[in-house]
Amino acid sequence: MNDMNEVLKVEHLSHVYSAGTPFEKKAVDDVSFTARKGEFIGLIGHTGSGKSTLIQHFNGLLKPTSGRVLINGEDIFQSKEMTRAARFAVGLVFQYPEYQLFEETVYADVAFGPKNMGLDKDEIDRRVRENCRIVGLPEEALDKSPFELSGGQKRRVALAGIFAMEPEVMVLDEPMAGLDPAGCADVFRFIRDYHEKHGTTILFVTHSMEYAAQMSQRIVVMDHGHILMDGTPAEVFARADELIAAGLDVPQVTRVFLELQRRGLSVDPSVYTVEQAAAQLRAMKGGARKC
Amino acid sequence: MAIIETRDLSFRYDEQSALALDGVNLSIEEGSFTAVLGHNGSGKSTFAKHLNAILLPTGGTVWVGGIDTKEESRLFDIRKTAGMVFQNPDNQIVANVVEEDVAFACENMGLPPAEIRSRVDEALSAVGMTEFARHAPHLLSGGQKQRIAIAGVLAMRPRCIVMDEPTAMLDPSGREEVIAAVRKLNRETGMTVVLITHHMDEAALADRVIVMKGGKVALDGTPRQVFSQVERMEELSLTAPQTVLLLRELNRDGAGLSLEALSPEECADQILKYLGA
Repeated sequence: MNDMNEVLKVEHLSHVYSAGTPFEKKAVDDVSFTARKGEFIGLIGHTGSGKSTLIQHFNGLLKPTSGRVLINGEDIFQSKEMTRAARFAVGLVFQYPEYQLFEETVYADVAFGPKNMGLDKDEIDRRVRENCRIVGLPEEALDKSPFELSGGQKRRVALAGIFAMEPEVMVLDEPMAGLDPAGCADVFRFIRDYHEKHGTTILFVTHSMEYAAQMSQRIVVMDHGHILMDGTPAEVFARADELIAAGLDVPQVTRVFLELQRRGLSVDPSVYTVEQAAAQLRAMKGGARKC
Repeated sequence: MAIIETRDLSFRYDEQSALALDGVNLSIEEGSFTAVLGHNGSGKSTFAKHLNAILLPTGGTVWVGGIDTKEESRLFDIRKTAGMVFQNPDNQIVANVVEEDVAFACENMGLPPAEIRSRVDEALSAVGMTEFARHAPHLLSGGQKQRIAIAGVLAMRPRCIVMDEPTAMLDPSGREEVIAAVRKLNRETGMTVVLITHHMDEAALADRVIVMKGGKVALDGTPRQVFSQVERMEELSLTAPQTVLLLRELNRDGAGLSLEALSPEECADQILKYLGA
């Protein structure tokens, strides 16, 4: 039970909104889930699947209607101190985090979290500079007002602010939303670089199966407040039909392979990249030639 | 006939900054569905804001329904001809009840109440939101809110609807709802649609795709013509759809497949050819 590697554990968690009113809604329904040290997990589900409600329990923003949330084996709601500790242990990056910037300079904004943690000046300085570098913000930008920056740069500042807190678990809610393909690729890279450097447990919330598959070793799919699937990208994509039924955006190559399967070809539709698809088709063509 | 026409359109936000639009010459046919693609900073949103005189050209001319957008006295006519829907659904809703929100522009136009009633009903029905007429907008999903914003524009009965990344903040099902509503409008009522987007799959549904880069028109053609130019798309920091990329990959073996395949079905046809089945 007390596996040291189990950083974040959720036991039979349910959450009901507006209980006892006509708007009562069970957003999360008996979910159990464990994230281990250093894991990179993609959390997927369409709007209303309960994923946003679920992640708000991870650092105590929401209190479960029933069930428990454990960080390193400790119930985060057992005392006020534990709840506070959970805020530092689990960094939550909301959608459009750039709307939460408020300080006068980029430096001050990124330093805000570490300062609240009571770190000393030198440590704060190290964290600010190091993490601004990870997100590709130049030194000159540190003294600027965050409001002078472009949308893409503001997003970087907001990410650096959470990175600088160096949480044990980082939960990113749609960090690429609203960015163009080049911006998405950048954010994608920063998160991966940070993960490599710190070995932080990362939960990456997205609508995009494609990103989830590219980034994660493990994908958790939510639907109607339940966990529908939990496995490697290959295991999850093998059930592509169910993913589509759950309202998720499946990569186009996966759809092409489902179509080939419908037409009677024996292909494996758990492909999600162009390379995998091409390799499989080449192997089939090679095989056909041998016959 | 062209409903929107630009000649040598250029624009800069202030004197120090670079040209956000640089000599754009375009003509958009009435009744067409045009998608404008480009990465951030390509000028696509700046272009959209010229289509109903939110921005005025610093060089060249824009005509909307034959009116030069610089004619200040005709501003109202321009905005009635080309209505605009923006990215963030929460920034566009002003009322506490869906149907009141949809009626907002009509009230500003000073239409008689009976006329407003019929226009609001028609607009809500066009976007499939009739049953939500008396709901509170803040309790709707993003896709529903965006359809309300579209209905608000439709109630003005514009000839053209310009949408600036209307799905950027929506999830896949919300995007589908909005795009389906827009396509239906274009097909069934002949409403001219200009859709600014960076989603390739949305652009693939249009009659015409314009790709912008550095304030200029970089590519202009049918979705098939545009998306099959994989290398050119990559130069413009855009990626072609996976269907096209897969067929191009197979073509490296000399398969000679057509890259003009945008749907999974079309792609599967080409793959069967490749496999010799």
